[in-house]
Amino acid sequence: MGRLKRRIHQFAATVLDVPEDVIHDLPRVTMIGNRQLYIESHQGVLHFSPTELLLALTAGRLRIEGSELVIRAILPEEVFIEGTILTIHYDPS
Amino acid sequence: MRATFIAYVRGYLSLTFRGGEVEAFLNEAVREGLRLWDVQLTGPNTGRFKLDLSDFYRLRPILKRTGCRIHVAERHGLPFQRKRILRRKVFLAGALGFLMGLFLLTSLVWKVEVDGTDKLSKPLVLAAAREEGIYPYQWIFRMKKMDELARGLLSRLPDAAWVGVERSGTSIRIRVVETTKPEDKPLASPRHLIANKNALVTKVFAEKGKPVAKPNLYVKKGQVLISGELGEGDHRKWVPATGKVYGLVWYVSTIEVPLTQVHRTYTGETAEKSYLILGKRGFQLTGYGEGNYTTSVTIGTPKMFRFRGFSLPIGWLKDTVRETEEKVYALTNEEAEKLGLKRARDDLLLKAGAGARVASEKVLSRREADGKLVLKVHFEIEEEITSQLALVETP
Repeated sequence: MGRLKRRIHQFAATVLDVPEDVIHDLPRVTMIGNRQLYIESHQGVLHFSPTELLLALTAGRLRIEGSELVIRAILPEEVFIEGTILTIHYDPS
Repeated sequence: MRATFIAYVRGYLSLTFRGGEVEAFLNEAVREGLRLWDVQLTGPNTGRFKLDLSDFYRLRPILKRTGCRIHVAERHGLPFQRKRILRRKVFLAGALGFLMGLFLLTSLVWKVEVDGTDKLSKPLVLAAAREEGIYPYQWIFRMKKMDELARGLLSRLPDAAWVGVERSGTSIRIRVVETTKPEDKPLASPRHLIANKNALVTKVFAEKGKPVAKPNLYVKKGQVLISGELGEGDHRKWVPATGKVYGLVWYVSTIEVPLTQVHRTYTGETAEKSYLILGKRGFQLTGYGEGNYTTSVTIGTPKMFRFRGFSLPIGWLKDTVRETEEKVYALTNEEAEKLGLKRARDDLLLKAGAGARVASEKVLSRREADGKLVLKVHFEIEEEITSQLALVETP
């Protein structure tokens, strides 16, 4: 994205009061207690084990730690995780 | 995406996998658009997941690329169930038979109702409907369209002004609006009109037939007033004579009027008593010690409990006791005479029938006896004096 384009997008997001994930390609993370987790607009699974899930994002990575993690559903843009979630760690890079 | 109903219909597999790169496999599969869910790791590089049956053959190249090995653990869904169901022939036949039966029973007419008939008889309408093809146990799909049926029924029922046919489920409702016809005139056979009293004819209105009586003619009982015989000789014709003949009839009435009149009036004092009726006995429940009047009128109707049209021997009676008072009026002779004449007049006019009037009245004698006024009055009443006499033609 060019600098101007990004600024226009930023301006539109603030003026129109639109959620940022719609304007920028940011992930939307929805968590229901510590049992269910939806992540929209991820970029793929980097690592998956019953205690850890590492997802690639457009910028950075998302690390989910917990126990008995199960991928309930996975689509090119979305992933739905169930289990006991302990931490969500955002690594910007 | 859980094992929803749609997944069940499409069929899905429970797979276990071993070795290879799990993450790479997941990413590839998702990129290829495979529907996989419930991904679960059971150990290092082993796990299981569920996959749509239709995507199974697209899985192979991905497995090769990522070096995973899979094993089909379970098969779920209709495509697999189908085989098992098809093996149970009798069960299948039963299920099919049930559906067929349901379909057949709902495509039968079970009930035909007729509405709005008053003069037309229901069996007549039902018979007409049967001819049109509306009857119980008829196939609904064999019947004509509702508006055609209504038209057909209308042409079969000449006494109906409009017929509507409507179907709701398995019952047919026929609604009929009847034509209002003028009342049929009673058939009259040839007849004379004769006098039913001795009278002096005053007016003759002949509608049909030959008037014989003329005004100011004295007629005796049984004398012909309007003749039903028209013409003479070969042109003779018999008709039912119709018309009206009025005449003056004399009556002599003897009237007795008591000179003391007793009027009973309510004082307004009332008391209520209620009873429970068991069999033929009544047990008073309320109203003890009330309504002890010297003169009174008691009004009350028992209400028996009913059960499905049977009258039970248990009931309820509510009596209303009203106190009365008797008042005695003394009448003068003139008042008594007026009262007596009025009563006599009303009585005679009622007997003489419609259209009668008092032509004249004359008091013949007045006499007082035993506290009463006895009057003898001569009345001249103008009334209809006709009655019918049927004619039997003699050859």
